[in-house]
Amino acid sequence: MNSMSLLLICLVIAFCPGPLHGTSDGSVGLLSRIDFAPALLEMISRELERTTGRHFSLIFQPVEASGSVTFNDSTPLMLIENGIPETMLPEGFEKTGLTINLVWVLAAGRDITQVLGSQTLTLEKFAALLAELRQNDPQRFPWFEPLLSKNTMRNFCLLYGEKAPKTSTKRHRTAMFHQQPHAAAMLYRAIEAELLNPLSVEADLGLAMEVFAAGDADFVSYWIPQSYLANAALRPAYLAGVSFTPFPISGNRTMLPRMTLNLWKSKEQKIDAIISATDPDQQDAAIVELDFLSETAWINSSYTANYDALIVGDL
Amino acid sequence: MRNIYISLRFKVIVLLFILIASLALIINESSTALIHEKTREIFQQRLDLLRESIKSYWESEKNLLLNNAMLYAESEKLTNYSSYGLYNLLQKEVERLIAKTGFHDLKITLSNGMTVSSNQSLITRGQPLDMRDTRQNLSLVEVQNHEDGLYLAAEVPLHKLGEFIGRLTLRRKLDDSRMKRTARNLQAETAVAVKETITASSLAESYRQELAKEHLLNSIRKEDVFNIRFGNATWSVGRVNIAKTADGEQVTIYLAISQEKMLSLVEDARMRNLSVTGWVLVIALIISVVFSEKVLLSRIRQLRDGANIIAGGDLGFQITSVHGDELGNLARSFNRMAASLKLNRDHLQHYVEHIEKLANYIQNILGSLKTCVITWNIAGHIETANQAALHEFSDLFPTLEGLSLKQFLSKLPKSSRKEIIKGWRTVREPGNRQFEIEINPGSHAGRKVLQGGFSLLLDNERNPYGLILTLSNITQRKIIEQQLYHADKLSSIGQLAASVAHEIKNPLASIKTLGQLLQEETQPEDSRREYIDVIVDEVNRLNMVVEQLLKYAKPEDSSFREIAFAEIIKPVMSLVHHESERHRVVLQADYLPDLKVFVDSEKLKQVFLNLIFNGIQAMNNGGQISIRAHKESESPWVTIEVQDSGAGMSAETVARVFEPFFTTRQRGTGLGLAIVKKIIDLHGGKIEVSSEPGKGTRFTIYLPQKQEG
Repeated sequence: MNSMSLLLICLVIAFCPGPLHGTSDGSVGLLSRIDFAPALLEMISRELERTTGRHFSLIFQPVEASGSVTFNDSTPLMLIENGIPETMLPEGFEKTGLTINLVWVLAAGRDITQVLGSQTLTLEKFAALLAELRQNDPQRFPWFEPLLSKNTMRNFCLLYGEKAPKTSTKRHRTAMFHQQPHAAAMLYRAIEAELLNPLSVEADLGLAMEVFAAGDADFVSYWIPQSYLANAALRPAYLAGVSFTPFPISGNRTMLPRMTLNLWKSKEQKIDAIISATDPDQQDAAIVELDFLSETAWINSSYTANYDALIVGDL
Repeated sequence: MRNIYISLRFKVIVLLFILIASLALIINESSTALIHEKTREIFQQRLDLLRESIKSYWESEKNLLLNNAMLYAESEKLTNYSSYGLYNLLQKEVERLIAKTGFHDLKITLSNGMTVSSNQSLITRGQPLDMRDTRQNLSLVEVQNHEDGLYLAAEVPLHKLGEFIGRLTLRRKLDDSRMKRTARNLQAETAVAVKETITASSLAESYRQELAKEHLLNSIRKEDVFNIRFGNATWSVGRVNIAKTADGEQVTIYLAISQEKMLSLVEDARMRNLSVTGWVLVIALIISVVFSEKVLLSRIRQLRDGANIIAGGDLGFQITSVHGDELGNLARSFNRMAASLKLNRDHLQHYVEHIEKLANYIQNILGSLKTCVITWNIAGHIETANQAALHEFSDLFPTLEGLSLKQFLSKLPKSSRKEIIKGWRTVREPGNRQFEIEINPGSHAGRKVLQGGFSLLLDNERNPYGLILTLSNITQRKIIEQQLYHADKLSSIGQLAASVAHEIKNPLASIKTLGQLLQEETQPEDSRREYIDVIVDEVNRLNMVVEQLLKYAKPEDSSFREIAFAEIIKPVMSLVHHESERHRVVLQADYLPDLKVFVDSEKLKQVFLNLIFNGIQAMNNGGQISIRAHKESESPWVTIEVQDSGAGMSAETVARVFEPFFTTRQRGTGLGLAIVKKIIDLHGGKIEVSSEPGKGTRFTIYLPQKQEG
């Protein structure tokens, strides 16, 4: 799903009457490199409403990998991903101090949540669980990822390592996927082991969320507001029973990639009673702050090599 | 039977209208019949076409279904979801794809036995497909007969990157709504039947039941086209065996078309034809009127006007607009007739003028004649009478023409009638018998005496064809003859009386002289004086008688002149004024001031003096004397009446009243009225007297007018 499609979807969401907004108090531009799916935009909107006490319509303004951005001058408020250089921003805007943190987590279906209970998911447990699920139902794949999304691939590389440039590493054919040396090899192996749905390499964020919502996968990566981790009540109803956990990495550790969205406003705009909510950190997980510039740089330089390695198995 | 006038224009219009109307109606009926026949033919053809169309339609339905199934089978989502075990998404996708398409369901059966269907919420897991069966790769379309109805199903293989992964089945239910849609597309009611059941139909329930009965019966008859009654309407039904179900049962489609629509089309066509015919008739009427006016009537009117012009006398009129048709021939004949009439009229005019001249000449002759000329035709009626005849008989008859002999004689005196009849009877005898008749034109006009005779009126062949009576007025001659006769008679008496008077007069003069001497010598108281006075008085009276006698007999010169009647009567009235008053007699004169008479005025005064004195002496107790003078316009006489209201006279007295010396008075001379008559006779007039005892006396004097020349 390209950026223009997302823009159109956001516009539809913004202007269609529905549960997203009752009486709109205005619109807020969303400037980010993430190819937000409609469900994720809804979550951001709800979070913005929760933190400001006002309802805004979101207008997504994607930032291309090249760094170009198209602004909508009619929005006096903007949620801008942290790290975007101010030179890219329109003049006459200033930070309001309000931030929304989005974290990249592993979502598990309702059935899995019951199986897991309160135990911490480790990488080994994750792999075993996938294998068990596959074994139980050989007609379906328990894991699905939107690997066509560059940011997803970047996150996996960030958590599980990336293929070294211009190097060829023999993958461990006998090793389990979680034992692979880097993310591309891990994912390739998972597909090969029929744990990860092969369609993942062609899936974007939207398809992944649809698959997960349809129950055709037990696990999928998910962007959610960080507040959802601490307070399940904040989640939308369709996510009831779904568990979100930080991705397990080796050494029984977990990592939590986090992206911060800052609310900017035009200097003429006055916003009263801004509630600044501070999300409690996930103590067990190592938070990795995502930075616009470095992430963009990685995507421009390393995404293709890693994705190709995933596709052709050039590990 | 009375002839009813109908104008030629009306007849022409009606004739043309009837002709055109008949033609239009015949064409209308023919075209309506043709339309009816053609419509039935087209209707039959349409049914046949529909039967062919339904086969094509069925094939296109099958192809459409198959194409859709193949299109779905090529869906990347469906193949991806099928290949990668995303069955829930697959379920949603097939539901999404089938929604609002009109297809009944979309089912995917994967090679691993998994089945996902749009009308089943559960994903079922069955036996894996037999991959050795080569038919798995075939596409097919079949009719499926299920309890809930008939389905048309298209089944196609599903591939992912060329690898067979399952089969996709797309079904369409052949239900009522589908049949209605088919009916809309084909514009014919449709029904589909399998075995003995109508499984679906676009028809209403009651009609469907009728069709079901017919379907049962027709399974024996095997008729492809038949009629059926739906309600009050007749429908034509065509049957097509379209396919067989997967179980080998025959699938039949019925197509029904209401004949009402066809009949209404025919009716519409008929009404349209009628409307066109109506317009044709209106136009025909207008054309008839225009044609009759422009082509026929205007030219006939030209002929009529020409005839009127000729009737008015303008025989030079010619019709200028002459065409080459029958009316043109008539116009040419008309022109020839007018020319011929003009020539004849000119000739006739010449003859008429000649005859008129002749007639005028004869008329002038007859009119100029003083003699009356009256002609009788052979039937005894007066045919002509000239101006003199009309004048002479004008007092008796206002006109003479047409009078029969009897009518003519009726107003004539008896003696005249005898004379005329005698003349009539002897008209053929040799010698022209002449006779005299008297007519009395009126009480104030005096008698006329006419003399004449009858002669035969002969034609060119000398055959009598009427009578001519010629009469001349000889009244004046008769008067003169009578005057001459009286003059002669009076002359004798006068001479006698004059000789006697001279013989008496001398002795009387001696007696008178002697008596006067005796008077002078005798004293008034002398007793003889009385006798002497008597002698003298009587001698005086005798002298007076002798004077009158001499006056009566003496032939005196007469001085006739035309004088106003007033100049005569007024001195008389003054003269007798005292005497009348003494006798208490009122005098009254009535005459026109300009009335003139041709008389000897002194003598005529004597006449009136005598008559008035006579009247006064006839009225001892007073009374009235009226004098009236007048003249009838055409009469030759002036009539003067002197009437008193005295004692009147007996018939004997009247008969002798003009005789000399006849008197009823003791001291009268008996010469007064005799002198009156003598004077009147001297004038050529006449005097009449009428009287009755106790009713007065009336004298009527007729004086002739002055005779010209």
